[in-house]
Amino acid sequence: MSLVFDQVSFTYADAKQVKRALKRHTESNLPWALQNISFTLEPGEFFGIAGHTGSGKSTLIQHMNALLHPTTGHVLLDGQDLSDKTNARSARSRIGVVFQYPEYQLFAATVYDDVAFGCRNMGLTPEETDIRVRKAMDAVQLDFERVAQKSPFELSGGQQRRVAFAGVLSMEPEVLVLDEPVAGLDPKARADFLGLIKDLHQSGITVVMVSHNMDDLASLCNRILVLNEGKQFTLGVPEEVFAQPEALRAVGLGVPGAQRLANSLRAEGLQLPEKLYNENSLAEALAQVYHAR
Amino acid sequence: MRDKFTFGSYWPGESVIHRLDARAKMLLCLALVVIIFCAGTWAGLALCALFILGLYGFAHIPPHKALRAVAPLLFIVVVTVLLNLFFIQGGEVLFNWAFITISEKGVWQAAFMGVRLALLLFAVSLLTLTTTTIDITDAFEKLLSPFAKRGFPAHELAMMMGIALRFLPQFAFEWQSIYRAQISRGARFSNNPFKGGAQAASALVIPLFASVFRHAETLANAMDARCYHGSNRTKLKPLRYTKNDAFAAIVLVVLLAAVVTLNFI
Repeated sequence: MSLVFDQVSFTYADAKQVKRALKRHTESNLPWALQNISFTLEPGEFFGIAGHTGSGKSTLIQHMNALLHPTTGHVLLDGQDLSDKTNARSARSRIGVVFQYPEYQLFAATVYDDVAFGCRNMGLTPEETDIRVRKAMDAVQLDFERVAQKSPFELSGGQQRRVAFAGVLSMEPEVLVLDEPVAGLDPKARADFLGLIKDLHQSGITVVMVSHNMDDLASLCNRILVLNEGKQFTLGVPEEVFAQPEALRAVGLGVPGAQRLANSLRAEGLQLPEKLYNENSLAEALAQVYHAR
Repeated sequence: MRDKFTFGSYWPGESVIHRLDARAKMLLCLALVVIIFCAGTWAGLALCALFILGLYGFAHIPPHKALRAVAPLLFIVVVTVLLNLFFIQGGEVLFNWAFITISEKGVWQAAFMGVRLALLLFAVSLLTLTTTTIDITDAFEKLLSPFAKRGFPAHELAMMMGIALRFLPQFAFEWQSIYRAQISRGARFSNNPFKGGAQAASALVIPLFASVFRHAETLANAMDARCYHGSNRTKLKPLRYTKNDAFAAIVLVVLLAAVVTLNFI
């Protein structure tokens, strides 16, 4: 699997307007939602996307399974352009997208049918579907015996979200794209969910996660893409991205809590090595500084 | 995508016509419709056309916006014109083929009805172009309030109308996101709506209904929490008749007189 974004630009303006602008070379006046986005999603990585509201995050992920097509540029899955219709269809079973508040898409009479929806659309046999549904529900820690025959509307919000997750996982995608997967959950459910996502990643799925929570991104991601007004602001490992707190603040983003504390301690003259901290590593580093005195 | 969906066709402005009282505008619009129906001659229709053109000019509504507001209903005009063209007979026969006969009288009648209907559409859309939906529902409530004393639920109807209008764009937006989510799960909607249509449609309709109920419950709670109890509410911007409304009424009376006179000349 390789997913390549090659100079992708996108605008919601209608085709006529775009044509006219391209002819007159006034395309910089168009309201671009994305501009010249280029990156390659590596197999097995955990890829984070951050950005302020309206920076183009949701527009970007809709390009990943061909719900939107670039106005200019290409999205290539294993070298195949996703703006082609047949490629787009096959991409949708290989790249699973879980949208914001996915529990609002549930519709079937039973949890089982809802989770099986994707498999049935793919034309799998009932036996294969059954295996996959059990596996997917297991992956999101839903008790098959207890929940499968219930109506999804009877479940709690957190459980509904698990069902919606399972509905995408049952298609066994190679890439899982998550748009704000823990938005609106209480702290306990949040932690459970992040743990679940981590497990999924460790089982070999490539994960793309959109979030505005820098702590979550810092602790989970291999690489982070920061968007600002539709443009690529930075792309790099968390250490690099969070090493520039002022620049991030300028585009409306923060840095993880521990890192922020480390940064301000360093600004006050404390001798802390430059690296990315979480709560534990910062505590250790501070203990070392304390003992050295 | 979400910005494209706007219900109605309100064109913001500060013109005299925008500032007329919404109740007056509704009644005057009704009067204008009656006047257009009264016009029985081409001269009368021309006068009405000029008048409406003048109103659009006063309201500073760009022509393409006006046309776009009317366009979805133009098929009514087309159907009427065709019906008149084929079924009204009389005078010289202009065209005859098999069972189709078009005569002189039919052409004139068709053209007359077409123009009259088009004028009607332009007159009515002037109301929606220059009045916000909130003002329209307010005016609707106020105009029906005399009947409220006899138990007619004017306020409740206006409230329901207002809420329904308010939520249309919201549901259009949610419809979009549900559609995208189900497409991502491999659902096919575009290829053939009849093949496996029931399952596919329910994947869109049921989540939308669930969302409607969710919103209704939240809204009911929110209204309850704010002690909403129906009628006798005061308004931030109460509707008020002004001199302009009286003036507009006089103008319309003059127009009516002129049109009726033209009928007899």
